[in-house]
Amino acid sequence: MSTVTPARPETAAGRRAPAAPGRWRRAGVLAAGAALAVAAVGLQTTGLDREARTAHLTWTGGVGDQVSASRFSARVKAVHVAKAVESAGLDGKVEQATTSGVFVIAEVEATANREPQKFGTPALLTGDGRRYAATDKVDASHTITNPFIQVGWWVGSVAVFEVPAAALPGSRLVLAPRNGFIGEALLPEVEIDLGFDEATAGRLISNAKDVYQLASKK
Amino acid sequence: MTGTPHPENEGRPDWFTPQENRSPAEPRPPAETWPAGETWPPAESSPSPTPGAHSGRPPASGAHTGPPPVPGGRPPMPENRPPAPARPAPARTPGRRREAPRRRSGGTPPPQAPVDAGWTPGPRRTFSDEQVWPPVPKPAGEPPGASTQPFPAVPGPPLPRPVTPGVLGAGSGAATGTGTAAEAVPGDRAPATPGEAAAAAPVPPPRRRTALRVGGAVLAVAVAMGIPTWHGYVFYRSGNPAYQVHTVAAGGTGTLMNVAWKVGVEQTDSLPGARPIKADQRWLKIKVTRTSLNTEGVIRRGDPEIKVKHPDGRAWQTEVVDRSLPVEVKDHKVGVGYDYNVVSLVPEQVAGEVEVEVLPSTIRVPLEEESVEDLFKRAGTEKTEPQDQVLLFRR
Amino acid sequence: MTSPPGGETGKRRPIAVPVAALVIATGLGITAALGGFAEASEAPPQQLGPGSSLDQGEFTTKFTEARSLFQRDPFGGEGKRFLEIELEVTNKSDETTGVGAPGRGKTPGFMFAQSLLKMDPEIGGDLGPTVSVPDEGVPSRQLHPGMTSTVVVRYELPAGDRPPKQIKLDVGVFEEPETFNIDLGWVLVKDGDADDAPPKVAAQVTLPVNQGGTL
Repeated sequence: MSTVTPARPETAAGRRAPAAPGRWRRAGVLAAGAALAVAAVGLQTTGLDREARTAHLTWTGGVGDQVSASRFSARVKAVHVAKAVESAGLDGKVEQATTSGVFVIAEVEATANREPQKFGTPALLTGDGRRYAATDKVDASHTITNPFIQVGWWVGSVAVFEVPAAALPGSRLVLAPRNGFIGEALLPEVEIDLGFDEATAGRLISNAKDVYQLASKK
Repeated sequence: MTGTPHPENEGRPDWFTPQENRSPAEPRPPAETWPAGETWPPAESSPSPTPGAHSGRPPASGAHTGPPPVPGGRPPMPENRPPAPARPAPARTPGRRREAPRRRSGGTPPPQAPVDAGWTPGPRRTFSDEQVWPPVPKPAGEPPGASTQPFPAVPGPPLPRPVTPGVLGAGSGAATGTGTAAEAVPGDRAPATPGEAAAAAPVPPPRRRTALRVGGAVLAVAVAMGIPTWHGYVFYRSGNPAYQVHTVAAGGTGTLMNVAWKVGVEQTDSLPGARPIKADQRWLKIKVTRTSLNTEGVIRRGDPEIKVKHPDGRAWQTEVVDRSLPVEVKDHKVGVGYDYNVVSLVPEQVAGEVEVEVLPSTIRVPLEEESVEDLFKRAGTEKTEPQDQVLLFRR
Repeated sequence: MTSPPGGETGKRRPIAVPVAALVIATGLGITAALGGFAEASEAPPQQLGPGSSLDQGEFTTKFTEARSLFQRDPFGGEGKRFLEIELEVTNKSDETTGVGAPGRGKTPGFMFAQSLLKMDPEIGGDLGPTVSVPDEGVPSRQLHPGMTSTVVVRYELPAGDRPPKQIKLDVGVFEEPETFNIDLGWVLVKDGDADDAPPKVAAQVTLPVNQGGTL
């Protein structure tokens, strides 16, 4: 703590630089220091939070569009709504999954730009801002997460979601490569608007198939 | 620290005095640097370090009642004057001088100065009056800086001299005191005379150390940005090593880490047991043959990474179908080739162009069957080599 | 004294320490005045019975029933006994999460089931309970937002043990703490401010065990 004031002659005389600062100068320095500290704290708050740091770079498009992200391209060929989904389980036995909501089945195709890769669990972003992960009632081997997405050809499969019927309008399908053991930041992803407005969603739900059969890709 | 002990300042140069006039052995600067509002030597005797709070009495301690202070034969001091540089200069080494303030700043100031270790309590000595103002002309024999007589503040305008920002506004009192002192003690110290002070003008402006500050700022920014960048690069390299590619001519053999590698590629439209493929796809049947050249090569028998790459950077997935490596180590012969049978599905257009890359494993698998304890003992003793050596087999 | 002290000496007093002390004291006083040091109110846990619901923040959970089940051994052995707790869980958050697992000893629980803090009597066994949504054709371990799922927690009783007559569950609740710039997501409310404070028991659910079911 230094309370040096101009009236301290020994300081002025004893220092090489006669910079015994004036009161206003001291106040200015203090204010500048405080401003810097405030700026540093303020900058911290503008820093990305965990969610933003691990966020993906998103390319968007609609149903039927080829949406090209940096590492892959994808397109949604068709979307189905069903009350139940039938598929073969791990043991080969055909199982029928039911839900209190509806199943949304998106037929997806994808191709890679340079290197083989696999998709992580697809997600469905609904109009009300909720994020639904692909259902685990359909074995992953039947879905788009299973095959390698490679250069030179399109690989087709499905992504199956389970959502409340009322959540359908405004839904977007999100596909991103699987993240490795070391989490990679800024992975590319595509977000494909499934084109559900209230009317189409209502129509799809009322026309929903009782059972959607997933063709076993073998 | 309002009450900066004076000894701390003793060794400091006068701001307006050229430095070359100083030598470490020289006694402390002349008294004119202790002008208004200060006493000398106050700290040793003053229990309160606050300037202005000095009692105005000279220190009662015998430390300052030593020999008459001014070697130049000044009249003895009056009793109620501060017995200026009572301590004889030769008795105080620079080292001790430094010692004093440190001790004081550490806690309660000792009532008696620790400066003169040889001091012993004795009867208090008294002095008669000594002329302080106006200063007594200094005898020629007095060495410069010998006098440490303090001066009273003399009100008056400061001497004209170059003013640097922050000096006048900040330290007019100091300027007054020092200026007057310089004026008033001609001959006390050579550089302090008005003429020489003027000659020394323009007073070297206080060094702002701009280069130092800018350099510090640049260094700080460089460090602040460089360390995360470097850390990020190391992290990136941990997953993406800088590959060293060893190109092998078509049909040739590449040798790395005591193992000779050879690759054969065959195209086919169908594989037994595999799903049918599209018209624009081709299967590649790749046979990767490894031959251990010596025992060290046998130790390096971990499975390699095999990639199918186009020269333009596109890559395709490969799958090892089977391998002819013996399961038991003892069956692994030096000089005998063992095969990895690999398949890969590639577009037909590039089926004749893609090349095979083999990244031999850097893991050293011991020759003997290892117990778990041995494994743990060995763990960490060997440096893990990055798997960054690539054999690129041309087609 | 060679010269009188200057008139400005009064302004040179060291004031930083007193000012700092004053600031700190004022801050402490304000904190105390606003109740910053007050102990959190110790509301006793809610006592719930079968069929009652609890708002767990991230979820709304209805404690439907507890039942014991017996599985005959097709090879003539002793068979296995299970204790099942059936819950109706509605995910109120905006993201799919999982049923998770309750904590066991040193192993912390995760996701929904970590809020099942303790069961009395404790049921031993090598493994913890299995938690799943079994009744929708294919067993699931997901809880989708805005949907209600029937979650079953199944404990396997050690061989020879009889199922208890009733069980008491300590249940915690979730919160999404506001932090400076880190998003922690939903975490269990703790019983105190310490980092290692145990989760707070928000409710104690007593369920009679319906005996005699077979698998």
